[in-house]
Amino acid sequence: MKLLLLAWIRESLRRPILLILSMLGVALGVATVVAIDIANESARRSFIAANEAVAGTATHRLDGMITDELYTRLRLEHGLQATPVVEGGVRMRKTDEKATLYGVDLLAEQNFQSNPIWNSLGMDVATELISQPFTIILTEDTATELDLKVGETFFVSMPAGDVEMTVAGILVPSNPLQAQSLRSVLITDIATAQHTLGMVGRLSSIQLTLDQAEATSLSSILPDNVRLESNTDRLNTRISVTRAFQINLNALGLLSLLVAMFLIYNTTVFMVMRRRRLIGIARCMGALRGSVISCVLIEAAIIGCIATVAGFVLGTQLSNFLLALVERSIDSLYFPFEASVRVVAPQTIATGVALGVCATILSAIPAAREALQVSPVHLTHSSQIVPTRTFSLTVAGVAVAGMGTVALLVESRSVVLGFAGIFLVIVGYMLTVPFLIASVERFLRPAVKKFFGVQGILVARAFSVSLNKTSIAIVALSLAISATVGMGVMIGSFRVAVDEWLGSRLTGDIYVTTSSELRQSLREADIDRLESLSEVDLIGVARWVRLRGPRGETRVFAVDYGQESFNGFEFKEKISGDLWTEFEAGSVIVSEPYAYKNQLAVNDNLALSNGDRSVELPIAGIYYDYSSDQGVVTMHRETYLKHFNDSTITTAAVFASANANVDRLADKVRDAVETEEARIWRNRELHETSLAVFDQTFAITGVLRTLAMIVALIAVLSALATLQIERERELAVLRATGFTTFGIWRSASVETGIMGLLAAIISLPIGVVMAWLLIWVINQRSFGWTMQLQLDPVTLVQAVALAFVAATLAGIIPAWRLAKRVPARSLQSLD
Amino acid sequence: MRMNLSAVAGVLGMVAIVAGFWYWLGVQTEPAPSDVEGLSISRDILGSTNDKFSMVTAPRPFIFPEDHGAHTDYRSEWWYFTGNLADVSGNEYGYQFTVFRQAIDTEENLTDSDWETNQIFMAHLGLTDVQTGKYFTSERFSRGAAGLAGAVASPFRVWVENWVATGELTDQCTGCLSLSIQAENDEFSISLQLSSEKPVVYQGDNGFSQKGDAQGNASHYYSLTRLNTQGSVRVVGTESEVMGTSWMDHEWSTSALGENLSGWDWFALQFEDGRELMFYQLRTNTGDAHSTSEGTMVDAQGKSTRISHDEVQLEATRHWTSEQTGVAYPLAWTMAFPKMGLELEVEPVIENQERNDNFRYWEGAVRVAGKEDGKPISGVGYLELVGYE
Repeated sequence: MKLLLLAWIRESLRRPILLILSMLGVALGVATVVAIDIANESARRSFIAANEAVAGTATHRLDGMITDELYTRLRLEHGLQATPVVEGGVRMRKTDEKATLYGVDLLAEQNFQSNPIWNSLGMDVATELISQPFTIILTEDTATELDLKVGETFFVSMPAGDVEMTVAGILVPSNPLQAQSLRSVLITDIATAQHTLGMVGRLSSIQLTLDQAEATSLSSILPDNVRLESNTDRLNTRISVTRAFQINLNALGLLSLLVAMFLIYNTTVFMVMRRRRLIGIARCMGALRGSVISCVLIEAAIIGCIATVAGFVLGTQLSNFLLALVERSIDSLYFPFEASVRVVAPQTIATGVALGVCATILSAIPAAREALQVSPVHLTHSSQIVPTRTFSLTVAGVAVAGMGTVALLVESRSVVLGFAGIFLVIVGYMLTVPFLIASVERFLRPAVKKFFGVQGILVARAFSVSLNKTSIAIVALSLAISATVGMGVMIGSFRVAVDEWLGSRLTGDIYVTTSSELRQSLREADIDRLESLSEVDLIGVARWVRLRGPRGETRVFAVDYGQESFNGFEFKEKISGDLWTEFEAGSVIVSEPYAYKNQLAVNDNLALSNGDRSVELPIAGIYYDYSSDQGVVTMHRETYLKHFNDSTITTAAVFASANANVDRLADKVRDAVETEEARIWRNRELHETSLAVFDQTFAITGVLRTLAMIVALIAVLSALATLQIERERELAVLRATGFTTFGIWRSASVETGIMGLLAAIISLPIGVVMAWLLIWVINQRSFGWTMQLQLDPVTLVQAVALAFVAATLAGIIPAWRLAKRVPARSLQSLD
Repeated sequence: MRMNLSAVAGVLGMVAIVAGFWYWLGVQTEPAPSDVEGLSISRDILGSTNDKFSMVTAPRPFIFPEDHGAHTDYRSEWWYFTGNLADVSGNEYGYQFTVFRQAIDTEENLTDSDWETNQIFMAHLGLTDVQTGKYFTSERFSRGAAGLAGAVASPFRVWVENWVATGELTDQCTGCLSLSIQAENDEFSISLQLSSEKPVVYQGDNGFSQKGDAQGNASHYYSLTRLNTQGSVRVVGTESEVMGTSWMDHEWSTSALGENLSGWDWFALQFEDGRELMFYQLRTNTGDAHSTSEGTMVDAQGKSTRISHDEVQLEATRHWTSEQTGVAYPLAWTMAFPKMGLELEVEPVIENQERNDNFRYWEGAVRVAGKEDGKPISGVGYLELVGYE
């Protein structure tokens, strides 16, 4: 056994390229999975850390338009445990880096002695922070970055001018989590923060420690524009709303690994074939079948282990990059988010090891079975291609795809089940690929013969003879291409849908909005001034507000932009009567994700409340909307005013008259609006910004597609390398009989080119199917929205070109090596 | 068998690789030891001079209601309420409610924010449940800004968030107050009405109380020595109606203690015959009583007599060592006033009345019994022991 293993491994080492390619493939697959896992887990931990960093032991949090007086009232009249926070972004003048100015009242925490500032810096520093305005405390890392010591001064840049700050203390965080969450945070007294950030009289949030009864009674006394949120609810919401997104990423990561598995399969099968002679000799000398299997599997395990470790190293590096993309996606899709923590969780390691090692061993099982079939008799045979089992594979493929279809047809909201279904369908389809190739090849053969003559015949023959291995390479490539096509078509369709949606819904020429953070009202006087502008046709006003819906907080858009604007809504379902009339009369319309998540249909009644007042309103339509996967409820502003008596305006849409110059009008609007923090958007800007956000959100998908593609390329390279090695002798004969180097090279390139084309042809239909499933199953289940499938020919042509070029390129190196060899050497070789 | 060994070796190898990797990661995520950079912890906010503040150097006339409020020219100030209470079934309670004001700097208005402050307020709440032998304490800090804490003369109000003492002047005498105290935490609360029985007592030399050799080591100090008290106390969910007597001290200074002084023993005793005795002994670093230690005897009509250091023989008769902090406090005392023919024994109602939050001291209800010219005399009171290590 030991001898056999040694001989086995020595044989492997003779072909280091193949070993390296296999390991690289698995390593990349593991790296992708690990990186995504790290990114996801880090994002999750960041939510928790962010929650803990600001909340501490607090259970609730107040957001919105919070005044100093509200805080004082909570403390004095209600005796509540509360800590105020004033925070905002600043820039360091020296480095122009962003930082957060975080204003606290160190005395407000009940057990402030356990606060790290008191605890490690002591009372003198703490009192200095309170008594000396413009003093700050920062962490050791931040101090090192900014090259600051205690007592030194620095400037932060603010729109109103630079502010000089003095370092009162440097905090050495007690754990890495704290270090990360306090990174680039300048802790200061609340007075300094209010003054510097221009927030005098206002607080960003209040952290509270409440029991259920206190929370209930508190919510009844809060002003309308202040929200009470439970920290655990908030955290859970954050984790659950991003879950679907993270599952999507995991699935994409697994795809790379799946491609890598084909690569391993290919390599191990090849290794076994190469060693038929070795196995035969060993068996003659009494080696048992079990020993042979062990050799195959141990080798696979070694490859798996090395590749897994390499994958981890690569994955941890890659995760930095992915985390930044995840951060951007979460930030634009869900809520303001900065990943403060990067962790490698034990389960990430477990997953990586399980996938890397197990996937490798699993992929080697067919090879081990192949090895079993080598009997001592094979010693006398020089080479034998194991007959392909296209038929049984096809049957298995159909069965697997059938299972996948069943999984997809099951009425469910599970994203995981959806992905499982898609994976099964794809794998099933891929199993039928050898059969498809055989059919296509039979069909292509005459054409190849016609174009390439004798060489063509040789290529075509070689092709069908080595179908077994060719298929694997083609499958790997097809898998990657189909994923590219699937995701490309899905994202393309999505982008078209969003673009059209923006076009039809952004009907105003200029929008004036208040800061989304504070939701301060636009002043009445501003609206009056806008209405009096000469180029203005109509001013529409709207209010974004959060109300309590049947399943928690609901974003409500109370709008009065006129009927023409209303026609921009595109409905998935609606009542039979005149929708506008119903809408004006008090019905609401809900976005597709809202209807999906709350399981609502047209004509259902929707209960909404703001704590004070509750109302039930009929649903008149469900419209397409991609603004939020949590969904939106839209009602006429009059309806909202009638039921909730709140005349706050957060958005004003300016509809210009026919001949107005929008740019000039925008300047006038800017002059007319005096509300602080109001932002002016031209339609085009808003449209472009929204699409830019969209592209940013899907940047990570693009990266994962590329990764899967790279693994596929390695697979193709490896498959071709094995093919050419197998055929060394055959090609050497050709060389010896007068074929030129170029001729050999050409025949090899034609062969790989054909493989590429085949892969593309095979992958296109499944790619489109995948896109369709992603749109109608995954998108629906993850985000609640659907869209029309848009087949952009460019995406398809790109995929075909990619496959062809990839395969041709992958063929060049082995062919070049082959052509360089002296024919006599190859002819002499043992096998 | 050999094959199995190989398999085991393979598995072990894998485990080793993974473990090595784990270790490598572990090293990376190992928490860094916490360290301190900055200034040293100083728990002593009372004391030390500062020329930015006014010094107490001589007696001054007191003006009410103004002098009930804050004196922000001076560095430190406190309003002290202590009292002995009992419910209808005879269960006894002692309580302490103190609001401390500490100025941390005198520069002001560098920002536009209402939160900017140079005044830090601290409140101490203590409740002794004699029946169960339990002692509860709670402590609060707040800045004297944004309405969170402060001291206002008229209408009288000192507060740290929702711990508050309010009051109105009464016609009974100059500076006499009718007070209301509310303070609570999760475990216990007090809600009391207090009314002055006697005129304001000006401690020391007309309210000028020297506390050390150097000039300026002094405070302005007056007391309301007998406040009839009624209201309720809540201890772990049980609320009881209570009655009793309270004592209020109001004292401000910039540098209260001389440099060679390490602490004080302060007695506030209320006798059943209607008299009150206040005496504080300032201890030098060597443990002796300092010559500026002194006291006041208030008769039933409210007339007060100064008692100098050499008129008293004060002796600690029993020490108690706190299990929590290991500090030994002299809890039982004999006080002899030969000139008055008065001999007293002071005993705590329970031993453990040690406060151990940010400032450690013993502040507790006591019983007093003794003889005056052979006749028995008894009463209740409060004892404060500061500066024991």
